[in-house]
Amino acid sequence: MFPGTTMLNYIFWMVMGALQVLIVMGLVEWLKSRGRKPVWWQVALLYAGFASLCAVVAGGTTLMGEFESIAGWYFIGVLGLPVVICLAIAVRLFVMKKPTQG
Amino acid sequence: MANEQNALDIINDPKNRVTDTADAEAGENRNDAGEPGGEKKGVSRRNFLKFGGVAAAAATMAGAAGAGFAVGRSDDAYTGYGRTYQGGDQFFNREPFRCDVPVMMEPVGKVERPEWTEYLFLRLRALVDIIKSGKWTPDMGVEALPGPVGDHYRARPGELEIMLETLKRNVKRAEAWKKDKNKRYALAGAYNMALRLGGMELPGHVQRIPEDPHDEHMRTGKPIPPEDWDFRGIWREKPLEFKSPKHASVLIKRVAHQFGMSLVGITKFDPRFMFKGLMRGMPDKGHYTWGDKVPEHWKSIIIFGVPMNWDGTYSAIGYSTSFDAYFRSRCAASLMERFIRELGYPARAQFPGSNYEIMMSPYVQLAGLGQYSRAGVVMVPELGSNFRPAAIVTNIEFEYDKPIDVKMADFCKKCKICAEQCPSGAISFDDEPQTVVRGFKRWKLNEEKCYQQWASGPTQDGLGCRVCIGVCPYSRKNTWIHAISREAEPRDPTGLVSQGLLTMQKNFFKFHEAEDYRSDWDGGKEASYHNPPWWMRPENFLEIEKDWEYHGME
Repeated sequence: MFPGTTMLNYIFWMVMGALQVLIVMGLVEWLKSRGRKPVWWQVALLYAGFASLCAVVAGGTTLMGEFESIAGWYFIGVLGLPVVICLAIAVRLFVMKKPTQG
Repeated sequence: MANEQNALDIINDPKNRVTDTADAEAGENRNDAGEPGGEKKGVSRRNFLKFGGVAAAAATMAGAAGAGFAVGRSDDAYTGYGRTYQGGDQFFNREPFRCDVPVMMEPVGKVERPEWTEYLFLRLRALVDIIKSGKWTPDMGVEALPGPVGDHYRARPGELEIMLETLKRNVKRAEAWKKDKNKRYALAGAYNMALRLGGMELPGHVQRIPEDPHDEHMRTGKPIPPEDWDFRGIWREKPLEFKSPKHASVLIKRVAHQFGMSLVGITKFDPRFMFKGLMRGMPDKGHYTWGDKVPEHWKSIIIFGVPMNWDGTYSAIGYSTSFDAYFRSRCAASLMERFIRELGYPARAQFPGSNYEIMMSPYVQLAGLGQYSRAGVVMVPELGSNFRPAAIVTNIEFEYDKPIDVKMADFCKKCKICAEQCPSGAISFDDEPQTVVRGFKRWKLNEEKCYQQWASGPTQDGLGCRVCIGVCPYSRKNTWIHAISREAEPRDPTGLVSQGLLTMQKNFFKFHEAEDYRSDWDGGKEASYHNPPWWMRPENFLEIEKDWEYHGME
């Protein structure tokens, strides 16, 4: 990530790890604010969808880094679309649903 | 259970707060925006988590994109240069894929040893010598071509004509280089020749690495049989004994890595893949006197190799050179030869450019390093065909490696990208191998056509094309997405992974028309698969007017 350094690479990945905690906690708070009671597997599924999207983006930019820009954009477009659709379905089911009464 | 509170609920429940009453009431009155119901200012914990989470998600996405790009661009993704002495660059675990007989090496007919004339460069030199001697001229026809070279071409109708046209193209290319018509390749050519003439082919048969018995013969005029040459410098009365053949294998592999080699495998010496009529050190390299003899002490063979320069290979044709890896692997061969003799055993290096008594490709497969490809050359899981091997023949008893089948040949059956991109049409489009080569059915490169493309290329020595290697899906860098592909593809019994990868390869990646790679005077655009790296572009460093365009991927 940071050529010519060693420490910055470790710091980068430590920060990325910390951000993941914030993402999960934030997701739980969003679900609550939508009147949903967070269930662990729903949170896990939503996070897995997000992680997949990140992986697709990372895969595309990896190809771009290899001087394969066209393949990179195709990679993001073609592989990212099903991930986005799955994420939208999950959000519709777990977040946008009417709040539970009582 | 459904009504139980989780940890966050407990923490957020105002009833559980230990703050004063006013704070607790304010907390109960918070709205969704996190504003306290009364006079409390600042960001609430809930809003911090909500909006912080969104920000973290955005940062993660950006981080993933940046990290991915950095991995793709990093030089660390160029594997195989022996960065680790433990052989870490040989990262593909071959053990689950060991088999008894290499793919396409199950005999389908009588197995015949290759004649020395089947080695293109020996054949080429002999043909040029015949023409220069005046014994034969092209207008006399193939029937009058004397000697083993004549026998070779009479058995392969049409190939002599291709070779004669190639010789003309060699002259044309050399003249163009002298007239400075290929200035766009000035830096690539200098890099190529530095490795070739500065490191490998010193004049006068002196000071080469490793020492070669042919040079010794040329200097002294005496025959240098392998029974003398391979034992030279051994000072021990008897060789040091290894604890076991396995100990010998482990040590030699470790030392090969220590000498900078990425790939190492050891196999039994198999005379089926030794040239007939070829023994360096003997008069005329043994073409007319050696016959089919095999030295008795040739028992085992150690195969090792390193990749060629990646950027040049991706660019090809004018920017690539094999001498980069040739130089590295022959240096390692020199060191390994000496190391083995210090232990008291005979050793004879087989090394590039043309210092062999053996065909390397079968031994690379027998040593479990790789498999035949559609292009007729061997490829390995880590590097595709982008590597160059060397070898040491010795009489040490080793524990031998078994061949591997990682389904690369199965992929080749469907892929055909190398055949589609080959500017000379030298690679077969056959779905299944049709050619029987000395008793083995496999794909075979049309060497005459391939070499004609070399001769038509823009470099000063006309040694190489390598488009087939550059465009091969197995030649991709060692980034995580390609590593996952390499690991998943051979483990999928359904073939769906390989079909998916191939679909992506053919639709996502941009390829030229094959003829675009040719030189402009040969009907092409001097295109390259990728554009050359920054350090091979003369306009970046030299006072040269750039009057050309790059046609590869940036």
